[in-house]
Amino acid sequence: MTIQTIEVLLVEDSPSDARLTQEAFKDGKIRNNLSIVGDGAEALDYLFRKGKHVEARRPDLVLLDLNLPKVDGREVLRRVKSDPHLGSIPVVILTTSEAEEDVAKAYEYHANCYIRKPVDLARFLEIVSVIENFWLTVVKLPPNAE
Amino acid sequence: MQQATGSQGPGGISPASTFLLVGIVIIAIVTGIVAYGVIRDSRAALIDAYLVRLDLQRAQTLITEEVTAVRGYVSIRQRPLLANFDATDRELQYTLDSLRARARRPLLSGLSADVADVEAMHARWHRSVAAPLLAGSAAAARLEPSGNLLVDHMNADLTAAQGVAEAAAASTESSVARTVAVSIGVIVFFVVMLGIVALRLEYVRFAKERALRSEIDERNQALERSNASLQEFAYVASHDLQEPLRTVASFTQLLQRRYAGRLDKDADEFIAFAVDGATRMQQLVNDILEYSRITTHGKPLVALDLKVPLERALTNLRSAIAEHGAAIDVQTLPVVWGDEVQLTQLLQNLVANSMKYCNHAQPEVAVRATRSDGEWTISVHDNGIGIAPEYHERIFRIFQRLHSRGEYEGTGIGLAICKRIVDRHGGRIWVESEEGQGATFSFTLRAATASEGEAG
Repeated sequence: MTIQTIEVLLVEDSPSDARLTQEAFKDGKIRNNLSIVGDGAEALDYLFRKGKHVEARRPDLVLLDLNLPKVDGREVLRRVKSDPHLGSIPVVILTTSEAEEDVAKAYEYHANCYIRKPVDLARFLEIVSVIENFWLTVVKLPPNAE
Repeated sequence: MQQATGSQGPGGISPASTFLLVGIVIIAIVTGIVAYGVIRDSRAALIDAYLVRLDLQRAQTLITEEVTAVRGYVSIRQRPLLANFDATDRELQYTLDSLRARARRPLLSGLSADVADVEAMHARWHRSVAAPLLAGSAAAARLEPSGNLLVDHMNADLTAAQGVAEAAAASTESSVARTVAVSIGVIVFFVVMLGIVALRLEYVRFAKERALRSEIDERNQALERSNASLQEFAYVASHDLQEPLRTVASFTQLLQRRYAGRLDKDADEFIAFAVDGATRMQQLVNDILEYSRITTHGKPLVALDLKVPLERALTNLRSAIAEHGAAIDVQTLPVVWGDEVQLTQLLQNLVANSMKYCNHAQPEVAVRATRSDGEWTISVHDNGIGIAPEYHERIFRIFQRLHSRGEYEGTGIGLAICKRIVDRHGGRIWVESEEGQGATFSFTLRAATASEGEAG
C-alpha cells in the first residue's frame, strides 16, 4: 500500500491565521500538502487551473474563509459547488463570522461543514486536528479524478 | 435639557394680550348695557305713547257722551239721561289730568298745548253751553251752534294730539331699531375682533409650541444618534479588536508551547506575562462586546413568566450549583415584561455571584418576588460575605472589583451587565447588605399578565 499525500487548499487572507493552520497541519499524522492562497480570485484560479496555477493539483479538501478580498468566499463556494468536476470536493468553511445568515447561506451553497474559528489557540489547534482527522482519515473521499 | 426661559410658557398669554382681551370684553359689555338702557327707556316711551292714545280716544268718547247726554236732555227733557253726566265729567277731568302729566315727557311735549286747549274749550263749553241748557234757559237754543263749534274744535285738538302721539311712537320705534342695529354692530365688531385676537394668540402659541417641540425632537434625535453611535462604536471597537488580539494571544501561546524550557528562565517568564496579558485583554474585550450587545442586540420586551428565564439560568449553572452544594429556594414568580435571553443572563449573574462570594460556607440562595404599583421587585438573597455599604454603588460600574484576582476571579462585568439589562427594561437595581451579613440584590420589572403574554 502506497502512502498517499493528501492535497489541502487553504483559502485564507489573514497571514497569521494561515500560518497557525499551517503549524497545526505540520503536527498532523497524515502526510499532506497544504497550499495557501490569500484571496477569492486566486482560489478560483487555483481550482480552475488558470493563470499561474495552470499546474495546480486538484485538492482533496478545501478550507475556505468567507470574508475574502477580490472574490468573496461565498461566491467561491457557489462556483466550486456548481461545477460538475469540482463539486464533489469537500469544502470546510473556517471563519470568524458567527452570523446566522452566513451559516445558512454556506449550507445552502452546499458547504460540507461550517466551523467558527475559536478564539483560544489550544481550541484552534484541536479543531484543525479534528478537521484533519475526520476529513483525511475517517471519511472516504471521492476518487481524485486526475 | 435647557428649560424654556421667561414667564411665558408654551401655553401662556402675554400681559399685553390679556389687557387687550379684557378691554374688548369691557367695551362689549358697556355697549350691551347702554343698548339695554336705551331699549328699556324706549319701551317705557312706547308704552306712554300707547297710553296717551288710549287716553285721547277715551277723552273723545267722554266728550261725545257728554254732548249727546246734554242734547238728549234738551230734546226730550228726561232727567235720567243726565244720571251719568257728572260721573262722565269727572272721568274726563281725570283723563285730561293724566294726559297733562304724560305730556311732560320729552317726546310727548307737543301734546301739552292741545291738551290745554281741550281743557279750556271744555270748561268754556261746560260753563257757557251745557250749564245754561241744563238749567233750562230760554236762550239756550241759541247756544247750540256755538256749542257745536267748541265740540268740533276739541275733536280737532284731540285728533292732532293723536298725531303727536303716533309720531312719538314711530320715532321711538325707529330709535329702538337704530340702537339695536348699532349695538349689534358694535358687539359683533368687538366679538370679531376678539375672535381675531384669540386666533392670533392661539396661532402664536401654537407656533411657539411647535418650535419648542421640534427643538426637543431634534435634541432627542441628536442624543439618540450620539447614543447609538457610541454603542455602535463600543460594539465595533470590541468586535474588531478581537481579531488582532486573537493573533497576539495565539502566537504568544504558540511561542509558549513550542519554546517553553528551550530558552532561558527570563524568556519563559516574559512569555508567560505576554500570554497572561493577552488572555486577560481578550476577556475584557469579550466583556465589552457582551456589555454593548445588551443595547445593540436586545430583543423587544414581551410578557413572559419569570419562571422560564430562572429555570434556564439554573440549568446553565447546574455544575456550579452541584460544585458548591448550593441550596436554591425559589418562590412563585410573576409574569413581567422582558427579554427572555437578557433576564436569563441577569438571574444567572446574580445567582452565580451569590454562590461565588460564599465564604466557603454552603451557599443558601433565595429568590423572592413582591408586587407594588404595577411593578414587581425581584430579590436574590444570599448568606455570603456581604458588601460594605460604601461599595453599594460602585459594584454596578463596569470593571469595578472589590477583590484581587487572587481572591476571586473575574473582570468585574457581571453586575454592570445586570444593571444595563435592568436599565433597558426600565427598572432599578440595588443591593442591601452589610459586610459578613449576606447580601440581597433587588431589581424591579414592569408587571404583565399572562393574557398579554399570549397576545404578544
